[in-house]
Amino acid sequence: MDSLFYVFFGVIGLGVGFVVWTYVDTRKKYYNEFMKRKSKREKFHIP
Amino acid sequence: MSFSDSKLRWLVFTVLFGMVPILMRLLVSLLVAGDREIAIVAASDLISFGIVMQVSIFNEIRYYDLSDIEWKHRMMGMSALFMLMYAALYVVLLFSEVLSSINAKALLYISIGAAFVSFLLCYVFYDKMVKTNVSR
Repeated sequence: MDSLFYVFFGVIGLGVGFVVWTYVDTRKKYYNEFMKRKSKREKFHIP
Repeated sequence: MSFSDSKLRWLVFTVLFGMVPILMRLLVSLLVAGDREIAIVAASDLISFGIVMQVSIFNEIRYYDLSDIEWKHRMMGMSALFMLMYAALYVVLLFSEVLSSINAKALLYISIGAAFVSFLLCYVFYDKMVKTNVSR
């Protein structure tokens, strides 16, 4: 039964890894979008 | 931390409704006094909360036309994996009622961890939806 518990721990660990990866990936993409819009605003002198 | 409209709706309708068994148990355990006590937390409530979280991901992901299709498939795979884990956890929980060899305490801790990770998974899912802003 202990081995099943290790499987559960593994799935939870995988979930934590996925959460961190998704969060970082979203922030990275969002930041890139933000910088793109910012540079466009500056280029066309939009406040 | 900023909360958008869809994230707030998720928090109220999904998380709060998903937490109803946990909150009710907490309320009843606080109200009941005497020799026979009701446990403050139970693995079954946490499993049901986790299932609600995963079902909400499965339901919502269909409505988003994501450009990142690879991530979408990964998310669905992760959600399916967690649902399978909850099914297995529930089976072990039922067995623990008749078999004393199963560590009920460990089962409870695993359920707490899994429910918390499910909540985080659901949060990052909605966060990505809001940030990428690609809706139907």
